[in-house]
Order: sequence, then C-alpha cells, then structure tokens
Amino acid sequence: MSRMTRSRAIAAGLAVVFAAQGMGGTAAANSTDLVLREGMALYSQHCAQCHGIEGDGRGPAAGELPYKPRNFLNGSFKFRTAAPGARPARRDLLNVVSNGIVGAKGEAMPSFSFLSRRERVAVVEAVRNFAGFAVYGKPVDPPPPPAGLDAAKGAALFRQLQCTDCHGANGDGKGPLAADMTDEDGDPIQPADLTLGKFKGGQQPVDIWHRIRTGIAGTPMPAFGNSISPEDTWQIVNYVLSLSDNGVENVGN
Amino acid sequence: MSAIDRRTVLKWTSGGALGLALGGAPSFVHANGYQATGVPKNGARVRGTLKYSGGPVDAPRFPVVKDTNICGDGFRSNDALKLTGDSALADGIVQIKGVTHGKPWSSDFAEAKMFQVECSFQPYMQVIPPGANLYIINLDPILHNVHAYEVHGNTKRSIFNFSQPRAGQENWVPLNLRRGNQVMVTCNAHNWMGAWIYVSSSPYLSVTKKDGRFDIPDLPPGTYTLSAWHPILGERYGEFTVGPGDDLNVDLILT
Repeated sequence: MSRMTRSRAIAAGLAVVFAAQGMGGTAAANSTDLVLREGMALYSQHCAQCHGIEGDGRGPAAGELPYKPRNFLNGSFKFRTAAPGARPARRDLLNVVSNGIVGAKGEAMPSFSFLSRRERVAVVEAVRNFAGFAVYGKPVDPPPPPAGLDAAKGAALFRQLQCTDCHGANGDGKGPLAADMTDEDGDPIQPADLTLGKFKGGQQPVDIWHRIRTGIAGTPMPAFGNSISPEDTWQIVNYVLSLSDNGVENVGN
Repeated sequence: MSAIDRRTVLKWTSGGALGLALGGAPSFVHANGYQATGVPKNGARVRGTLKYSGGPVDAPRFPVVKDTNICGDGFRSNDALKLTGDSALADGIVQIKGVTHGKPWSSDFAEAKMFQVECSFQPYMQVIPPGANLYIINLDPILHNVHAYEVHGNTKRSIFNFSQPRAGQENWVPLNLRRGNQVMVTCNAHNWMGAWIYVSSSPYLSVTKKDGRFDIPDLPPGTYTLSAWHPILGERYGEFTVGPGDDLNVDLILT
C-alpha cells in the first residue's frame, strides 16, 4: 500500500468514526458496525414487539401469538439450507424476514418485504448478533429432482426411516411419539400434520427438501442429510407433497 | 425433578489440615486459560471415591411404545444413580478447577465415541477436550436420533440433531461449546435415552468408575477447587492446597 493510499484510508476511517459518533456511538466503527447499528434500529422498530428488545423471544406481544417467537439468544434457527449442524446461511434468515412464516395455525410471522433489501440485510445482521455467531453457514443447493419420482417409493422410505413414528402412518402428525414431544425450551410441540400442506419452513419442494436434510433446529425433527441420499430425499419430498393438495406435479417444476 | 434434592454436601474423610470451603451453586466459567506446558515434575495426586449418602432418587420412567424387539417391553429408565457396594457413585465428574497449566490431554482423548446399544447411549458420561471430534455410532437396527444440547446453568441450547436410521451408521461432530462445559445428548425417538459429555480444556478431571473411584495425578502444587458434579445431584466443591509430591486420598460424598 503506498503512502498516499494509506493516508486516504486513514482519512476515510476517521470520517466513518466521526459519522458514528455523530449518531451517538462510541464504539470503533466499520461498515459492519454501521450495518449492525442500522439493523438494531430497525429491529427495535419492527421486531422487538414479539422477539423482545434483547432478542430473547419475550416481547410484549409474544403471548398473543399462535406460535412462540424465536429466542435468538439460543442460536437455534429452524429453517436452514446449510449442512446439518452448521450455522444458518445469511439467505436463510433473509428468507424468513422477507417472506414471513405461515403454519397450520396461521401466520407465525408477517413478511417484512416492505423493507428494502438493504434494510432486511441489516435486520438479519442484528439477529446474527443476538445469536452470537460471527460467520454465516454456507448454503447447500439441492441437485435437481431425479426423473421417475414415485410416490410409492417415497412412502416406503417414509416408513423405513420411521418418519411415521412422529408424523403418523398417514402423515397426519399423530404418530405414536407425537403426544409427549417438547422443544428445546421444554414447551410442548407437535409434529407437522403433513396432510394440511402448510409448511412453516416454506411451501416449495426445495424448502421441504432442506427441512428433511437439515432438520429443524431446537425441535425433535432431526437432520437426515447424513443418512440418506439427495435423490431419496426428493422421493420423500414428492411423497410428502402428495399427502396434501399441493400435488405431485410441484416437484420438478 | 421434584423428587430429587439437589442440595449436596461434599465431605472430606481424609486426615490432614485441609482448608475446605463449602460453596453453593457454582459460577465457574470454562477454563479457557489452561495451557499444556508439560507433565510437572514431582506433581501431586488427588484420588479417592465419590459416594452418595442421600435417600432414594426416583428416576423418571418412560413407557416403551415402539421398537420393543430392540428396546424391550414395559418401562425404561436412564437417570437412576449408579451405586455399588458402599454407596460408591459411578458416572460423576470429579474435577480440579483453577489449574492454569500442566499436563497435556492424553492422546486417548483426541476423539470420543458414543454408541447406541439396545436403546441406550454408551457411555453415560465421558470427558473430552474442546474441539475434539465426537463419533456417534448406531448399533441398533432402528432409527435413533442424536439430539445434543449445550447446558449452561438453567439454559439449554440445541447444538445438533440428526438421525441415524441404520445399524452401523457412524457420524462425527466436533464439539465446540459457546460457553459452559456440559453437553446433554438425548434421543427424541426413545425419550428415556440420555448421556452426558463434559468438555474441559484442562485434563485434571476424572469420570468416576463403577466403584466410584477417581484418580487425578500430575497436579502442579498450588491451591485449587475440588469439584464433584453429577447430572442428577448437581455440584459441590471446596478449596484445597497441595504441595510437591502430595498424595491426597479423599472420599467425596454427595447427598
């Protein structure tokens, strides 16, 4: 780095620090800090009612919702596309902020698509900061669905992998283990009724593919990404979708 | 848990003028500062037996609702205290806290293994240095899932949860905890199954054996905290001082 460039860099650094102090901050500022600062401001405005000002999921409106708001401090994020056990990818958190969450009991979280993409990225930074990890996971993209998907084969895998223990022989969420399940906080939780076709992690086949591969963190739903091939995962996705009105033809489109 | 009295008493039964401070709920943090500088010359040794002298502890019992050909009929339980003979307590952790430097971890602990056998995790308790790989092996021809939580005080954080549907399946996970030392492993498919892993940067700790024995050699002289912890009974601790070559033989009693 030449002397000229370095002095420019220092000057630019000072400008950022001054800007940060102008906003009332004292911490050493860089671009990440500024994004985080913006994200925290947006979080306080749009998210804290439910998720709590400290990110603990205990905001003033939390008790009135059909679903429990996420406690970010645990660092467990349900809907992920990174490898099993890995941190969520940035796009995973961005997807939830952008699209919201809809489950069988109704809307769990509204869409915040009215925020600009930059603002949503900033909110995601605030969430990452609450969760206490520094680096996002690396997202994994599924291979395309294989030709010749067969709901009967998917059903056989569904039984063989004992998905039926929780989700029931008919996929109605009433398996023999369904009665006594709890989440990581010890609160009761039910396996999804797959016949309703309402998937909290997203309605697209690829969303269900990821739920099977990565599991749903903080719940009893385990990751199967270590246990079955991507192709067999598609067979199960195909079967799961065939249980509801979403229809077999969704896979592969 | 209401049937379990978490209050415990640590009692020294050896002779000697040892200072002992009984403490309440501990607030020790993960000993990140530990440095493996080598086995000290003329180090001290702390050994003895962990015992239990309280009343009977009711372990939760769970009905076996499926996989009875592998898991058995009726009810299963996991959390009963493992006592033998003279109230010796197995599967406790006896640890010397406050050691800043000393021997390295034995290479035997470079990795840890956990098996699923007849619908139980084996071993129930083990220790492992931070970042070491935990290999998890299913020997049962049925689906188990391995759901691990980091436990710290009253908080419990899910760190991974994956399925192992086939006999012979093996997976490994590096155990890096955010804070605290305790990992609780459960299986959602068989809710009596449970096991613990204690993660420690210092190797000055021991899982008590079937006869309750523990043995922690090569300790640099100094003043430390001796802690006894069991997942059901909680933790008690007290301070002690050792000089070069000292050989302490102590019985620790949890109630």
